[in-house]
Amino acid sequence: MKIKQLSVFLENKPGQLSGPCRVLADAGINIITMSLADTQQFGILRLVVREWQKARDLLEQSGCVVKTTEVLALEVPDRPGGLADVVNVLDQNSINIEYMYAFTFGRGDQAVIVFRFEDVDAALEALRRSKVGLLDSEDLCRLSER
Amino acid sequence: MSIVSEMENRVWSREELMPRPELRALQLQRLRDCVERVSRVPFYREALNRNGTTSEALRGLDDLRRLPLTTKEDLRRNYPFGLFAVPREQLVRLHGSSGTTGKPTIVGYTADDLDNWSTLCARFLPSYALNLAEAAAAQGTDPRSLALRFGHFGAEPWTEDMRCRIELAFGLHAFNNYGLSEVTGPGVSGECCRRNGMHIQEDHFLVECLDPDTLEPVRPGTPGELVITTLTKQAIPLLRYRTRDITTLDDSPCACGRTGMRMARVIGRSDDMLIVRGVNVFPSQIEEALLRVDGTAPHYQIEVDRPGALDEMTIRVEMRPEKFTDSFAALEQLRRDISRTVSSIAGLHAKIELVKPQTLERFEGKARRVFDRRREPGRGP
Repeated sequence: MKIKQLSVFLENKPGQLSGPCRVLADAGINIITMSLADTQQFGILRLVVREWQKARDLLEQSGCVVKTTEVLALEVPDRPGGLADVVNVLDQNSINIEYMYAFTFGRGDQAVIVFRFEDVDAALEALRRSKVGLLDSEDLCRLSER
Repeated sequence: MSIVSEMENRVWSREELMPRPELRALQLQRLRDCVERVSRVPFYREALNRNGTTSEALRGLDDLRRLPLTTKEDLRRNYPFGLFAVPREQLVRLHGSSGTTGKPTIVGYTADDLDNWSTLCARFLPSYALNLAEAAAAQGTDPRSLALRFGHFGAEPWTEDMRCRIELAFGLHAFNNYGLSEVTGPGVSGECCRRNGMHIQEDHFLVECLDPDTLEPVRPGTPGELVITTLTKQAIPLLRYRTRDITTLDDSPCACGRTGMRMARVIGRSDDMLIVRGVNVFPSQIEEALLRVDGTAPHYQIEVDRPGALDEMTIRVEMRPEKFTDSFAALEQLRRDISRTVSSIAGLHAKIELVKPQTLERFEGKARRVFDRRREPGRGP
């Protein structure tokens, strides 16, 4: 259920994003989902791709600093209160969220949110006991290809 | 047994323990002789005539400041033999520098100069030899091969952190010493067992610590350019030679018993000194800060600019790939650690920018790490 996410260090200056994107494009690697977070000083590009080892190697060869982290992808009902229900489960189990980013695949009723937890195993256990839908990387790939 | 107790009382010559008043009297007498000797050199004769200074006019060591300064450029202008104070036949040895940073220079030694030099070096040797022997025995290594390695340590400015690393790597005690080829080569100063500054061999060298900008003496304990007058050299005596090396002087008593004042590790070249918001900053201080903070590589650039009324210093630092984490908090913490360490060592707040590994330009030899944008056209006040 855990999904490998690649985090890429970006300096905060123009043109930093195009390099990694070009590397992946040239290798025919599709970005399933991503987020870009930045401070005034630097940024972190977070990517979920199917062939993460290959992507990691190619990015590193191109001079990027890459860290592999584990995240969870949760299905969240696309309606008012959908996220509140999910977060409630996390609260009840005292699970700390480091960050999250949402995306939809054009499915009418569900959104998918990627969560990075301080303790991914504890989060996984808590979520399994709940009714929250967890997606694995195969699910994500399938969704992105629909 | 500790290094201090092993080396206690290993003093080579009486002069090293000479009470300071006696030492100062010896220095004055030798300074007068030296001025007498340099009067034979046209370059100095003219300079002394301009100042109206003679050896008899030197009443005390404070009068040293009436003597002219000598620079590396003076050595070059008088290449090859213009500053020699003895006839060529008295020279027993010549050293040439090909001039990687300018025109070539040549220095020479008389037989007496070489005798003095071996005494100067011998004063440090007992401690070196002891450590080399111990280290060699412990490792089953030929001491001669270790001796070669040891020779590297004093040649260039190096940081305390580097000392620790070298000591760990080689399993021996590393001592700092200082010298420069224009003056005598190694042997101007060296550390005792206390390793708390390098004792200047003041019976042979008279030193000053001057502000490189104003050429006035700095306040005791603050960094300045080391200026050396050679008291005993015969082949090429030098008056107030500007070493360009930045250090601090300390004449407080040392527990080892030697009375020679101590100079701190050289923290930079006066040419590299940056004045940022009135604070003198040396690139080596930044390097030391980066070495202290875990997670940075010693590759950096310093940029100084004056976007408004005040100078701003930015330090670009290469991150070590293994230290990159996905967490903003950790990266911000790293930046804060660097900033705090820089400000404690250099006394100045700097903006820290983390950059990708291998992205800052690598340099052969002397690194160009400082970019002072204040002097660029259309910038600054």
